[in-house]
Amino acid sequence: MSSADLSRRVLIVAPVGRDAELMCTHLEGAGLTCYVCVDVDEACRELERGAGALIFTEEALTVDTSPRLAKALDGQPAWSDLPMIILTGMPSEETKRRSFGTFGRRTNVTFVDRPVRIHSLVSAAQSALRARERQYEIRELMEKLEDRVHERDRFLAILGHELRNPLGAILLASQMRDEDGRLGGEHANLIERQSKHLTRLVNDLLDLSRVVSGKIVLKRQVIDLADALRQSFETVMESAARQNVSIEVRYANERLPVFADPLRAAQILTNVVGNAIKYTPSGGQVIVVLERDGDQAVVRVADDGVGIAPDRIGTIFELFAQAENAIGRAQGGMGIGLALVRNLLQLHEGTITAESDGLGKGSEFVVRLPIFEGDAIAPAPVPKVSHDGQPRRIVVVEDNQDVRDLLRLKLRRLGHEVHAVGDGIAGLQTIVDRRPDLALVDIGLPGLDGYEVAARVRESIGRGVMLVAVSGFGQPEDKRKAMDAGFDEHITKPADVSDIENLLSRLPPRGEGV
Amino acid sequence: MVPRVLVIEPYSDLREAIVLTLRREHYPCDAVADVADAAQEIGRHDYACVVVDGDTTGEVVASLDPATHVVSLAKPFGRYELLAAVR
Repeated sequence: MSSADLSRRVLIVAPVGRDAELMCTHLEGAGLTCYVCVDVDEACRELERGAGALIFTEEALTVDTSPRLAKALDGQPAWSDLPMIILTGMPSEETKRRSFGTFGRRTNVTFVDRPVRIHSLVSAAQSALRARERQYEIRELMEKLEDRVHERDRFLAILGHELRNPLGAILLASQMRDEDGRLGGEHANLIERQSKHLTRLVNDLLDLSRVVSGKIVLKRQVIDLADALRQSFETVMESAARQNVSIEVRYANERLPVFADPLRAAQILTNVVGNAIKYTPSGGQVIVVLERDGDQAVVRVADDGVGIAPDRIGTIFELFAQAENAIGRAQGGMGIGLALVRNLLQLHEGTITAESDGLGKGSEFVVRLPIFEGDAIAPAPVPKVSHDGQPRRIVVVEDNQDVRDLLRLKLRRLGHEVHAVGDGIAGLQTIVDRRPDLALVDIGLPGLDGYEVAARVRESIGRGVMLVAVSGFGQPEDKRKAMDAGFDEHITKPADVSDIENLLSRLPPRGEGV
Repeated sequence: MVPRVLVIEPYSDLREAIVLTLRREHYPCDAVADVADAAQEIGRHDYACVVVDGDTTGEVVASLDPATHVVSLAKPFGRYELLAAVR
């Protein structure tokens, strides 16, 4: 009998006459599974194996046996409230108190008066088993919840551990100012590199969360996969050069159209190629081959790096897989990137596989996407353009002083006139008074929030300023909410100077109006 | 004479940051990523101090002269904490 069957049994203890046999016959006739115990002690033992309900006749529950049953019931887990039916011959109040009353505090007891009608007994037993089923459902939910809590704790432990290395590097490098308070180039570069690493980590985490919860929105179009690959190289070439890893690319001699979100396609390939670079030692090589295989566009990314142990290859795309091996930890890999890649590919009806001959023998990752059967090839994503260098008037409304000071410093260095304030009321006033070309407005501001600032600016001076929401929340609904409030654009924190330069490039020359 | 320091840290940018910090204070300094490379360096030089990643402290200590000063700090640590521990 399976454990599921055991947990749905009705245990019967009726030591006098043929009561047990008769009850069993009638209950089994109604489709229930019964097990007759010779006494309370056997019932206690069977409880350990599983039971859906208990039926006792009053003779079974004596002053001696009742405490042993009570003890067994006390051992029930938190979710369990085992239904118990006691058949009584209308006992006196004293008998009830002495023998049975104690069970009412321990479990779910129904007293059925004797003589018992068969229909009443079957009905009581069925009702008890239905109640027990609900308890099993609650147990399953609790187990799932416990698994999730365990997974979350594991995630937090790994995240905390993995943040320590980049934060340590940033902290040390940031404390290397010279006597004038300036940072040398190598220290600044290190800080920038590690900050970008942390930004990627956070972005990957958020993306993975969106994918898993079904909140990611793909903007799919027909693209040439080669364009996505070229775009990914813009991101990874710097780290390849820094690690002295050479990259050889072999493009297909035909276009490989796929129906994909161009940004996500580039993100997938950036992750896979970046991963190969990360795990290839100095002097190593990464070979990327783009080719057609039947009705699929295929990207093969092979390296002569650290390879993958045979016992790891099956779990390499699972969340945190890399965080749980020494090489992954050394390279700052939490094992999010490949999990994200697999999820993004699934959304595109694509796949990724990994092969390796073992540790130290390199590895090959193969990405496959279905070829789009048609002619339309959209142009490659428009590269970001730098602004024309014209000085602009910019208002920054940001309550975090460090972020505000940094943006002010960076934008002034680019030659712009910058007014920076720390709350919504001052922000509104400054925008209205200064009439800037561009206003970067944080959403979570004290005083007035960013949405209110935007709405009041529009009321006050109309559309004579480009309003940009700067927010830590980048979901489509966040962007829509910003547009509805009166913003022209929405950028997600941390705002990079290149994001702002891109916005500035879209402003008309001064005097032409926005 | 300024004591020679060996840094054993697998995370490359943190290793670089530690070395930059120590060299600015004029400590002669070598850096490696793992215990295997550390063993080679220890064979070549006498180190007065070893700065080691917490995960590998045990393996490293076993291979060192007992007189060697071993520094294993909880990450993230700052410049002053590092220098105070090395001195």
